[in-house]
Amino acid sequence: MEITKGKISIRQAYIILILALTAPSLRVIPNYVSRIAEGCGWISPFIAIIPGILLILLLNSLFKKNKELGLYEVFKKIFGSVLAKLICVAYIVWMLILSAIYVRFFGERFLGTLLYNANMKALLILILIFVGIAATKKIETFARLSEILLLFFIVLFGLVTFAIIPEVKVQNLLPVTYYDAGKILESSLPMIALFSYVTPLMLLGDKITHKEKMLIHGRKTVYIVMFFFFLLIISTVGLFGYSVNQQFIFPYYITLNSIELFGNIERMESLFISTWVASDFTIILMFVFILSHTLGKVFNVRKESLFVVPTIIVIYFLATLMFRNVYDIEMFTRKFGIYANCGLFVLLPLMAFVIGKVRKVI
Amino acid sequence: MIKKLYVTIYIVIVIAFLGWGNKLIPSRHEISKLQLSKVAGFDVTPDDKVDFSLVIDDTNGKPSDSSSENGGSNKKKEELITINADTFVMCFRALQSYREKLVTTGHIKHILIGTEAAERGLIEEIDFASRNYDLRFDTNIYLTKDISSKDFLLTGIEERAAISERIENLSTSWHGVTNEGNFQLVDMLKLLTSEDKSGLVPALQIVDENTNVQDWQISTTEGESEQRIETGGYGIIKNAKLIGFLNRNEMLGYNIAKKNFKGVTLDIFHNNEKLGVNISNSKTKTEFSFSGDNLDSITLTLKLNVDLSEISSGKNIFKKNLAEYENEISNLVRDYISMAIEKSKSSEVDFFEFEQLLKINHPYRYRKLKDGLKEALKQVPIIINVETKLNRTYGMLSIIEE
Repeated sequence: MEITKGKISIRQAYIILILALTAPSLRVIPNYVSRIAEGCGWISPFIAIIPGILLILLLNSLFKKNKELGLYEVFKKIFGSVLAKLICVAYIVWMLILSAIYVRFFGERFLGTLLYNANMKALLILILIFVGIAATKKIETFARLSEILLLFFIVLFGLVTFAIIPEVKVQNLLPVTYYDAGKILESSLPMIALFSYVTPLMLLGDKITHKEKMLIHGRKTVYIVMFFFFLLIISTVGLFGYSVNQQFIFPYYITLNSIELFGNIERMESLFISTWVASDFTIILMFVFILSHTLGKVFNVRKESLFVVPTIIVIYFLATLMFRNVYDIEMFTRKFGIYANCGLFVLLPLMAFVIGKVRKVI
Repeated sequence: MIKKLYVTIYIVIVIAFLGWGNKLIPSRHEISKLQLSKVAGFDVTPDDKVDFSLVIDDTNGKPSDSSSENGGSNKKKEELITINADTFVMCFRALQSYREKLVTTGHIKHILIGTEAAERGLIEEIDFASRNYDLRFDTNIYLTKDISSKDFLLTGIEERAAISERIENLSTSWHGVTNEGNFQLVDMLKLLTSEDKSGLVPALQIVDENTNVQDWQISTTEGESEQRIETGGYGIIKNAKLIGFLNRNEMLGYNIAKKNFKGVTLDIFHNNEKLGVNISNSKTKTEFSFSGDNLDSITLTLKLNVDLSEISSGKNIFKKNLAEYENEISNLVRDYISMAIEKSKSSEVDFFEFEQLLKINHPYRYRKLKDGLKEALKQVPIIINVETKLNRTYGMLSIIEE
């Protein structure tokens, strides 16, 4: 693909999305699916493919005639300047909260797995400093870094899955009956909520080229993400059953904790957690990039990097002050986060699509 | 620009190392300053406190001080430390103040839970073990039959072999009455998070000359057969509490029916001949019969592959009516399984997992039967069919020519 200065291709944007989604999905999917659908949650990713592709179709329609624009400009065309700004402010507020959640979880995960006695605030400041440095650099560098990191993640996740699959007990994933249809549908909700991060990513739309391939690459991304969710459920629920997974904030950590490769190699979790950190870094950095870009648009400031430091400071305070402990974040995600994601990142673009079609601006 | 980046990274690293010091960077310990442990024991005491016991290698060979539970012999390889406190966390804290070395529990491979503690309920022990950063989810769990884990470990460390190695051997290579996979902390969690918090947990026991639980006696060149540790069947857990144990025959029946073994050695007596056989494989099929929406009967059909390891007469039994020998084995196994099923019914713990099988194989019927299923499983006749195939003679037909 042709490389344009200061811009990334749609393929690279999707790669950033895939890598960014790994961190929250390792936390949210096994626990939520076990809670709602119990053993039959492994079917949910197959169901979630449909809304995933519909969301890509929706975004493709919004950008069909606006290939050079970002989502903010598209909203401006559809809703008008004031309403578009209001929507973007809502997006900014929600993305600040999401970033705070991911920053806090980065710290909590370290405290809960490797560095038990570490100072969490120090961990948060450390990652935010690195995110801050990276956010002032070019987005192409971030895209290329994500390509390399995704490769590492695939290799490690593949290795872990390879070690786990022979241990999976089929009875943990059965039975599946038509009585479970409601539960399966409900447990596909967090998958859609996570995949919906593709919408805020399109706020960077004016920095993304080759949007004519949005649908082709988008479909592939949906399949990859949902297949990842499927493997994730198999290797957690299939291994220990849903009742164990319901009890843990980081169910995948128990899986990592129990891996023994070739009967000899164990205690591999540190290796995987270091890659998990890379995924945390990616999702936080992705949001900081989007936030500084959108803030620049809303306040008509060309130099977006001016917003990086204030954004990071706000994220730090939100991360430390909003939640008392990991349980608070878990409850917030379960009771509010998933629905807010769906509302803002799925229903709002849908509304924009309908209004845009009626007004014939897209 | 590059310089600016380097300066920023340098400042970050300086802050990380100096600003937060040990709070951020994990404290480093020399290996020689660490004291490893592989076996731990959990108990409760009558005054509602807990005992935490830890077996550690006494590598210095120093006589133990008064805090040690194991007397002052300087020959022993292992030392038992037991701490009594209100909570296990406090025990862990106290442990670090006792030794000059840092006691690390990250290498604990076996956790033993005393009978009294298990009878009171396993929630506290398992909750602590699951929350503990050091203990791993693949740590093996055992109950100590009719004894506290502390007393069990006291006896165990007097054996010639290290207790952790002995337990390891029992759980992995001692064929016959062991289960194939180890029962790990995560399995215990699964049991305790299940709806009725019921199931089986492997047990270990102390065997001496007065305990007639095995078919053999051991003498060694170093003297009379002393107390030793052996597998002790399974503890039956109901509502997270220990309510009893499966004896050896019941355990054999359970293990064979559930194909939970690497190999089971049996002695068969038939027509004044003794046969030593080894069950190398088994396949169990469970079928449910219904009349309308009621559960009518359950049929277990087992197919056993048996290897012939020893014949007292030295004759070629393959020239005889082989079916007689096969029937003998089938009858013995059927009896063992019947005993285990009776125990399951009398204890009202469905450790054969009939409910789970019904749920998987007949999900729609299961929904209709669910409410009264526990009662139905107590009443329903269970038919056991065992088919034995004597198929391996280790390349030998007979010693006595016929």
